[in-house]
Amino acid sequence: MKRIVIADDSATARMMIKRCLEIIGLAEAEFFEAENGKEGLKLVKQHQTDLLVSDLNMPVMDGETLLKWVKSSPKLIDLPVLIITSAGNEAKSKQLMEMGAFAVANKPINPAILSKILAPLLATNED
Amino acid sequence: MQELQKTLQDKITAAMEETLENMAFISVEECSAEEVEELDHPQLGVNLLVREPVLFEMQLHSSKELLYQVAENMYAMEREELDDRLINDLLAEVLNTVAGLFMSAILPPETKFALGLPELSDEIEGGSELVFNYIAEDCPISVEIKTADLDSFKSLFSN
Repeated sequence: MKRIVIADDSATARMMIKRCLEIIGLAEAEFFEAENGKEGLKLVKQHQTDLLVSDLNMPVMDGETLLKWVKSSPKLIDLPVLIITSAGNEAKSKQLMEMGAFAVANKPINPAILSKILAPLLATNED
Repeated sequence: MQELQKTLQDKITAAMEETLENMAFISVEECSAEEVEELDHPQLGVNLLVREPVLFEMQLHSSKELLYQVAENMYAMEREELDDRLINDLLAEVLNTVAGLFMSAILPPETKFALGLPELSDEIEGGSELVFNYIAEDCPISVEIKTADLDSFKSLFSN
């Protein structure tokens, strides 16, 4: 069973992301939700996580800092991080990809977008 | 000013349509301030600062009834199960998404932008010339742009 951590300060956004992931074939996954990057980091350390989905704009610890922490940790460096944000564009996406993000998607998301983005990951990690 | 209003109206309408369609399969239509006033719905408000590349504020005022309808669609929950916290969160996420789409639409792709966190607001000050009104599911929803430096704001559209 896959373990997915969703970090977003909006419960609405977390619900939308979770529903989209369920629709594209991850209904059996175990989801853990965090309201900020600090909680998200704690969750990915606690659970053997297969995917971290994170917003950028969050209180306490933002998504960019969370990404930096994950990519600087030898234990977490291979964890795919998908950034889903309302503050993204080409320039920001490029910066985040250079920092090690698996992919960057702009809000609002839908299952078709997530399916396309996560296709390589789903194909290589089929249980 | 009229040209700016028209440009803004087009971009904000597109952002509103995409956001509400994606969230709850709800369509929006442009309407006048008089139509919004006639509907006389209790409203909730939220504001958000766009911090870069130019500082300005976006406000969203939505009919409570519309928020409940969107939440019922999204969460597949009965109205009695929806609490104020969830409705406020939904309102904030709608503005957050609309603001992101709007900024992406007006800026060149190589220009980064930064959004603040949405903050709930009970006040509906009005008075700005940059107010854009919509009706969705027979309920009013409006976006207002406020800036202390109109020239800097206009510079966003010069590219």
